[in-house]
Amino acid sequence: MGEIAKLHLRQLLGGRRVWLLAGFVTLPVLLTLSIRVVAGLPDGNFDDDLHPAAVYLFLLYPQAVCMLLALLDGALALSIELEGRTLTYLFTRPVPKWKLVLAKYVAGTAATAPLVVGSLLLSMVIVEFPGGLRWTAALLTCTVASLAAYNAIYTLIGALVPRRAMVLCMLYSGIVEFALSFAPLTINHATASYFLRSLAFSISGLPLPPEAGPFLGGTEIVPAVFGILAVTGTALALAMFVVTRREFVMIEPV
Amino acid sequence: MTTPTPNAGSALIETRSLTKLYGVVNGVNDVTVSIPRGVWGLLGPNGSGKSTLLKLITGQLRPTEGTVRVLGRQPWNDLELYRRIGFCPEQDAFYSFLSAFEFVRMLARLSGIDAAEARRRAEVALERAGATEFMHRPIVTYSKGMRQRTKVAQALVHDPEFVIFDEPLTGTDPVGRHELIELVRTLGREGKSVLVSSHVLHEVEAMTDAFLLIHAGRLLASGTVESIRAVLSDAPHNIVMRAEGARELGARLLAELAVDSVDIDEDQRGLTVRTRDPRGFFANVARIVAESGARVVEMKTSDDDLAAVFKYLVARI
Repeated sequence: MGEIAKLHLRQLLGGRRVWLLAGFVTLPVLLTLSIRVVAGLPDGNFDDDLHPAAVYLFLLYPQAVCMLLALLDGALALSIELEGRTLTYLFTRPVPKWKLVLAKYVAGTAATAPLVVGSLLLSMVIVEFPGGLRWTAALLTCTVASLAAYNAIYTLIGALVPRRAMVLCMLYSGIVEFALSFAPLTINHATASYFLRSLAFSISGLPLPPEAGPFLGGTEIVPAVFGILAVTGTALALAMFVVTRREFVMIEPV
Repeated sequence: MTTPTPNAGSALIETRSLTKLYGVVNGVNDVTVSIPRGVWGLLGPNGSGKSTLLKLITGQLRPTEGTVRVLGRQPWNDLELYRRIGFCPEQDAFYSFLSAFEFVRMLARLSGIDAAEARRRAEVALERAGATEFMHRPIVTYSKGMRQRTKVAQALVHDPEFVIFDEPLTGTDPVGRHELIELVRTLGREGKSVLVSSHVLHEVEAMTDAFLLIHAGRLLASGTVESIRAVLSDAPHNIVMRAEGARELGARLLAELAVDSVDIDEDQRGLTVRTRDPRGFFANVARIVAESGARVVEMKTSDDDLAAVFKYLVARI
């Protein structure tokens, strides 16, 4: 597993993707700085623990930056091997295919998490830690959970449709994570966004009107944690299963 | 040359009605064969299904129908078998940011070899493939021949008992070609089994005298050169010549050799000879040219291309 992890890190950090990676963690800081300089901090007291700057950071990091980083990492984890036709070398060695997926997932998540957390902390410094300790804990937890969840989901999409992984991941994000997750139906409980919002509400202590719960998320921490772990674990397990079972054709049919 | 040895344990490769479809396209079509251990050539024109067959053998693809067994095991997801086979793919694909040494060492580690031993084995394999000189440079800087040697080294690094080379001579220079042919022969002498795919008959003929012939996904023949030559013995061969005095030469060839026909070009300098006895033709043509007083400036057989041979075999079936 260690060799695959090292290989994946060199693929992620050694090629052109590293510039995109750098951009995805730097630009949010610059954006936050710009907003702070132009608009200043939000005025007035905010009741009920609603801090606009904290909500902005939640929408920026767990709901956007983490998705972009997962696109670069999880979505491409397999397709880059397939399109480079290097998968042959990995699949003809005595290593279970699920281990290859797991090693790439763990390495990618472990490498990108410190970068996005660092970026988040810088942004939080710029807006002077809105909401104090509770929102700081909520944002950090949601950011790491979001990265882990989207990386797993995009790895699964990459395993299912490796040649269209990026496009399908973006479609999935738009349709499922942005639209469907707000639908007041049970199916929104299958989205990562729903549980990430629940996690943010429960840790930050932000109260929700009861009627908002079905589409925004719950306020109990245990179901939120369990939900995000279930989404992440299921997606990753399915990705490992798919890669073990399916064929990856790297040659043109005769 | 190492002639395959029957009954040396389980068959090297055994297939029954092996079929692989890509949608409606046939990659491999109803192949049934059992070959013993030894050095084998897999011959077929481009697009004949060689690579598909090799991917079935190495467990990268699953049969659509039928079965394949390699060293007595079904290759799909068989990790134990992967320890015993080495595969050198046709495609020029690498992690180009690695050096040959890093690449081969990494694949040795993935074969279950510990770190120190993997380093040693990588050095040995790279030396064997003639890649020592450049092995610490990034692969992105390599020539085609260097990359080919690197691929060969990774196939050998875990000391497999069965090595599979897919079109290994493509893009190699004459020296590299000679070394690779020698390597395959040496592996055979060491008791390894080898399967080499190619679309060029004489390349594989230099490595082994045992062949599988495949065309359009179907196995046309298997066996030694002699047995395949026997199948091909009455296949017509076209020999194209350009000569001054072509008409006189053509007449002598028709009169003295087992020649079916001679066509003279309009410019009276080119002639195409059709014969079913190419060996007899080539054994005597120099004498007849000298006796006829013709001056031959070019002579080639248009049937060098395997496709022509396979076309003939397909027509016979």
